[in-house]
Amino acid sequence: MRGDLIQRGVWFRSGEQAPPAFRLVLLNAQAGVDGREVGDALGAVLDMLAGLPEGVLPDLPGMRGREAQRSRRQFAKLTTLLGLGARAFDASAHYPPLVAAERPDHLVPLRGFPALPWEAMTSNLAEADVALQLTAERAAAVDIAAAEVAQLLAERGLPLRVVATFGGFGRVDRRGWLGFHDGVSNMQAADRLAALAAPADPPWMAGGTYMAFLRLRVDLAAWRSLPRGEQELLVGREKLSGSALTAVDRSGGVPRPVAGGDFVDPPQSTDPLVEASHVHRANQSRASPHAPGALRIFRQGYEFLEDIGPNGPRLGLNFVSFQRDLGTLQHLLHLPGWLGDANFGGDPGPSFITLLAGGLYAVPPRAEPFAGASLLGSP
Amino acid sequence: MNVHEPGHLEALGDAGRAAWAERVASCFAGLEKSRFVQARPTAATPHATVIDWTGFPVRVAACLSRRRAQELLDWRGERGDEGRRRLQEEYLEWRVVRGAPREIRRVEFTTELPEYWRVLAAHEPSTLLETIAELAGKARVAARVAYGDLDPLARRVTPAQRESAFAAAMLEPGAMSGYNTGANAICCMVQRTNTLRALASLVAVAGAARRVRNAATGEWRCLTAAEAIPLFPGAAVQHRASDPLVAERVGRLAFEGRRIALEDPPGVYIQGVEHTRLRTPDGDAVPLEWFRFARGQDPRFQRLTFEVPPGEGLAVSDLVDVATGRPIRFGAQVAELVQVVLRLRVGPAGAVPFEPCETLKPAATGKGARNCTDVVRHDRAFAGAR
Repeated sequence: MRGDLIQRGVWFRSGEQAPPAFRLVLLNAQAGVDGREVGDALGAVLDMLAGLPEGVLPDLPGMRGREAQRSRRQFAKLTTLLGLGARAFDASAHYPPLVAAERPDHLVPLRGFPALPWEAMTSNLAEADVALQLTAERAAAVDIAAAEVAQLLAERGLPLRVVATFGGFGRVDRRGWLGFHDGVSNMQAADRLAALAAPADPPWMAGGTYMAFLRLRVDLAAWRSLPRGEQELLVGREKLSGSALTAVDRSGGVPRPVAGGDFVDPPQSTDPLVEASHVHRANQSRASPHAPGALRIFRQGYEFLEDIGPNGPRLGLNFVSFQRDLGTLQHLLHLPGWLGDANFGGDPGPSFITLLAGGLYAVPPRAEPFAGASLLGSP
Repeated sequence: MNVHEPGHLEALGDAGRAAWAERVASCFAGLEKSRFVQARPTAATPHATVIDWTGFPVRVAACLSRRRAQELLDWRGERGDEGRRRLQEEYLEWRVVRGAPREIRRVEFTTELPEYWRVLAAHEPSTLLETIAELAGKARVAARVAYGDLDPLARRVTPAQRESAFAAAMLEPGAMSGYNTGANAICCMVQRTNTLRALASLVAVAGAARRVRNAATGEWRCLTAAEAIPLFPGAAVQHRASDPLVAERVGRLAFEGRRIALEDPPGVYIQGVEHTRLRTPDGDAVPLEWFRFARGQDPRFQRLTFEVPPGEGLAVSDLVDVATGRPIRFGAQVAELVQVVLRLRVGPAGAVPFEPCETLKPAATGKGARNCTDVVRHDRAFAGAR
């Protein structure tokens, strides 16, 4: 996988595993500033963030020895990925736009999807000029880093402001809130770059990728009210082992899932109930990303818990995907038979997932001094 | 053998049905050599499965750019829809009915097979002319629009003569009838690879026993499209939406030891459309009812017409695709929303022993390089014609 231009923070390379701590920091430029000023500000932010895992903290200059070592441990694997939102290209948000280069065709404000309803949305907090995805080994690292970004912007009077952040965590057992294994049928490492690397349309995105972020609320009480067999048919896996379903036993009147398929690469199914499961709806073609029609995306999601109130926990999934073309995700979430006519799985199945916030971002190819820097020049 | 007409249409008489069965058999002749793929469904292939893709020719966009591809694919020249004939290569073809400059009134799509229309022309000339008139929105059309100088209803005219005259007027590269060039209508597909023969050939060659060892895990796996397609040159084109998908899916079905057959009736069908991506200027989602599915029994439609109902006071070009934020300026933008399917019948996994099989070394597999030579050539012709 040498020679790729995908930014660090997309954990797709052979042997890599996404670290468990996640925070997405969303930044908007102040009114009246131009792309160059935003570029300079981002350069300062990224320099500061790059210093944290080196033991260089803004408020603790000159730290050495054991103290610096402890800081390096604290911020181990802290990685920043930068994305540019549709807003940065929008002349109605900034005039002139922060980025004068051509907007990629599918880089647009998120309007939602037919089977994934917004949850009482008044304003979508996940749309911004710039997204910084912070990932690290420890939750404290990404949280401190996000706070340091806000502090730096304020202290130096830089023309960016943090408009929202969204945190999340990965689980060692690779399960999600639904209790099932999640994200395990991602592609083989050797195939991932074909799903990720953007074409040169527009030219400045050649070798970069695109990020989709969907903050999905899961109604856990509704999910837990379903019998296990029904859950397994909706997911397409056996709950304990994660083994893919291969068939449905209808001999007893109530359909019962039959597992035994490959954990990572579920077999093609011919049973309508299995074909309607989430595993199959999300990857109906079961083909590699070398077939553009296969609509493959690389998932890197993180769970979240917002709060526990009188109505129970408010929790869900930060769905994060990277793909060579955002049109792929749009197809996946609009096409009938895929996830365009089912909230999760089934035909059409129960609805227990809502969209809290979401945004689409271009992730420019790696470059110096930072990815996308050349786009943020003077108009 | 008896073969149903595409979409379960019932337009052919006895002689026509026999001719259609014969035509299908000739397309499927190569399939008999495969251990996995059979010429027609039987009790050994009881399960239905589909392979689906969207109709926008993604290879053309990958070679040029999306915007340039959209323009090229809608190219209408003196001979009619040039973009369609040359590069609408995803088993879905369309014509755009325009009003004022930049105004799109209607987009019509078809997946109808030229092989079937040849048989229809040969054996049911009256039905053929009625169908053409219906598709063109006319009460009737003259025989010459489909048969040139031949009188198809004359007593001594043979089916072969009718088919030949029809092909010359409606199908072949020099065909000038506006009832299939897009000027007045489109009836069936004309791009050279959008045929049942091409599809059957692809299924036949893809459904062979091939495997490669996964370098990381040591386990056997089936081939990716990038690896498989170079093994059967001429039968599939890399980087299309359709061919690589069909190649991988059928190859994988064989890898799983399943028997495979194209469904009866054989055909390519329009299964759905991402209509909620389209919004009116007021932001309302476009209802599915604005898309009219036809030429087949649900869910085997072969024709789709998209236009705004007259009372709405809008044109198609007033609508916006919210996934791109762009107003509809080209038929290709709507083609991107159309779901095309190939329907298969398959048997249970493990029914056919996989051994002996062709075991490939990773080094023997293809690189999947993109070939844009033809696209660039057509684009230059387009630029020259403007």
